[in-house]
Amino acid sequence: MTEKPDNTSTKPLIVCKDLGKTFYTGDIETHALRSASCTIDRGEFVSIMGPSGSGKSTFMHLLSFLEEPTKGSYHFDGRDISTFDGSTLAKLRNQEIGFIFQAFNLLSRLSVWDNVELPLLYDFYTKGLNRSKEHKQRIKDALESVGLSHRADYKAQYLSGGEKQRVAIARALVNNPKIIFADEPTGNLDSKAGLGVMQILQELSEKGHTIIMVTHEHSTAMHATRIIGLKDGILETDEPVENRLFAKDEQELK
Amino acid sequence: MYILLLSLKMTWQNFAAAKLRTFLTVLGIIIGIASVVIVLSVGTSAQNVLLDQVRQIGSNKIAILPGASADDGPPAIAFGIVSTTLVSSDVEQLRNKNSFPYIENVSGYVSTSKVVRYKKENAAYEIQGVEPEAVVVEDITLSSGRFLSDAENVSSRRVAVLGADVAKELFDQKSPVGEVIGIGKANYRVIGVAQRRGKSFAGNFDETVYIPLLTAQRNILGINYLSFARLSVSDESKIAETEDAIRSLLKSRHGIPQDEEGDFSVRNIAAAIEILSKITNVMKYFLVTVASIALVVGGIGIMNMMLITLNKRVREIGLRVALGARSRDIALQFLVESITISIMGGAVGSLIGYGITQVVGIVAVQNGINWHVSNEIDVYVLAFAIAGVIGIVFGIYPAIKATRVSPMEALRYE
Repeated sequence: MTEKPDNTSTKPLIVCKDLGKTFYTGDIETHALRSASCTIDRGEFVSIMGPSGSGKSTFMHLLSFLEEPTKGSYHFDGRDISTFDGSTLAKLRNQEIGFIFQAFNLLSRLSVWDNVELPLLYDFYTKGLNRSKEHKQRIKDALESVGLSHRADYKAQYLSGGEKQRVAIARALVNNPKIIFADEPTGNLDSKAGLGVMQILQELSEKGHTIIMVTHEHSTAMHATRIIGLKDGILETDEPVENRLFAKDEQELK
Repeated sequence: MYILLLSLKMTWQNFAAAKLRTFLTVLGIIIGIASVVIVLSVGTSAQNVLLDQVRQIGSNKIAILPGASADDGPPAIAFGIVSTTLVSSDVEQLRNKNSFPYIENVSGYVSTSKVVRYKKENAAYEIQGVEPEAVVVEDITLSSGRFLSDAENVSSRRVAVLGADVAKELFDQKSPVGEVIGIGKANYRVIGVAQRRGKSFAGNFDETVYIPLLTAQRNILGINYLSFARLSVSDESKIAETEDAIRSLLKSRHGIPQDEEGDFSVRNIAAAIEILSKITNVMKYFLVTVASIALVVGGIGIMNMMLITLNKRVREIGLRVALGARSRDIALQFLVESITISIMGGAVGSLIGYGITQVVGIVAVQNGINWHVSNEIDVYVLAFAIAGVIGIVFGIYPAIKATRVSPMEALRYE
């Protein structure tokens, strides 16, 4: 199994204050996110909920350094990310973040192994003679942790939806990130496969991984420990989950 | 270095996944590079064949043509203008060793085309009326018999020396010497056969029948002027001096003031080689330019493919950015792809160009042309350089465009 995340630091992982993003298309301003403030600690499993257009995807893209905010502040692991340039943000994405997408976003022409290897290809930061050996071991471990070791040589396009998402999870784990972002991870899956994905995410959470999951389905959100609710671009609610759902006890994802 | 290897690996993965598309794109470059290589190599060889033929005539030769012409332009004869200003007595003066110490041999020429018959065989050949010195001026070697003599010329005897092909076509294996052939309405006795010399741009020596100058002038053409005169000099460094002396003599003989242009042209082979080099170079580089158009089209093919796949790969780019690729990694990936395509095209195109160049050489040699395959390494270095430049030039725009992809848009894209 993958190594456990380093949760020894006492600083909160994410601190954002009045975070906002406005897009400009010609003369038209789109306030994708008006204001969001929150603090997320290491080891939390947070659902970001809201109807489409509520700004939850934009919020996630800001938190994952894919977009830069137009207002507010964002400290990641104690560092103010507004001071970072593109290359440093790329390094953060590569070293400290794992992504899981609704549409899996695997490179279908490549093998499962090559897909999981992708983040490691952009690891320009690990030095040393054992680099490639270590990388190989990490890919093996990541595939094992999602139960797909036997599919390593398969082309991604020949996998089922559930298997694809498990490959994507392995890819998100392979660089041992501080935090995993999951954008509607069950959105393209049937309920059984979706449940399998939620089970893996909960297992990862139990092992100490920090997970932020965007979803518009309440039942999915209930698998987390905390739900942040967005509406019309504003972070409105932020509550711990009562009566949390556990995927391993369920028959299907409602 | 690692990033370059990484880009190459991703390029390989992409090509392996789209073999046909990659092949078709590479094909454009292959055709372009092969064309450039072939045009340059074959062009150089062809140029050398032409120049060798002129050199064969000998660089110590001077030709006098009737009619004025600019020094570097074609003589009047080339335009079909018949000029009657050059006569045998002009040539006679050139034999004066006191005035022209460096002239070795000189001969006046008339030429025409006539049907030559022997028994039932007959065909049209070039008939050249020459003086005995022509055997030296033209470097003719006889395979049997002898060349025309002074006595035969002066008394305008009907004798003939045959080119190798004339002899073979009319007489086959039989020896022609002593036989009688018909030229026009009269009969001529064959006194000699010239050795084979091969084709030349100046005419085919092997399909020429030599007869005495006076015989040709009086009995065949009914003229008293010369088509041209040729002479050889003993010292190549005296060519310019000798030419000036000839011009001076002919002007005074033709009653033309020395400071005016003559009614004749004096040419030497060195000058002809220079003119010919110029003309053939212009043609060669024109052809290279045409071939280069194929390369540009190939380059546009690369850019086209890169832009089309860019649209297909927006999601892939977004993903790579999300996983930690920097702008320069994305740009490099696309640039390496386009350069790889064009370098692959350059390599295969060079090989094909090389192959075709060799085949052309073999075919040319089999057809009796004195062809030397030009294998200048410069041509291949140039081809690779062009391929690389094309890969960069036509890859840069798609590469820049790829870095402008917004990961958020790309990943949202369904």
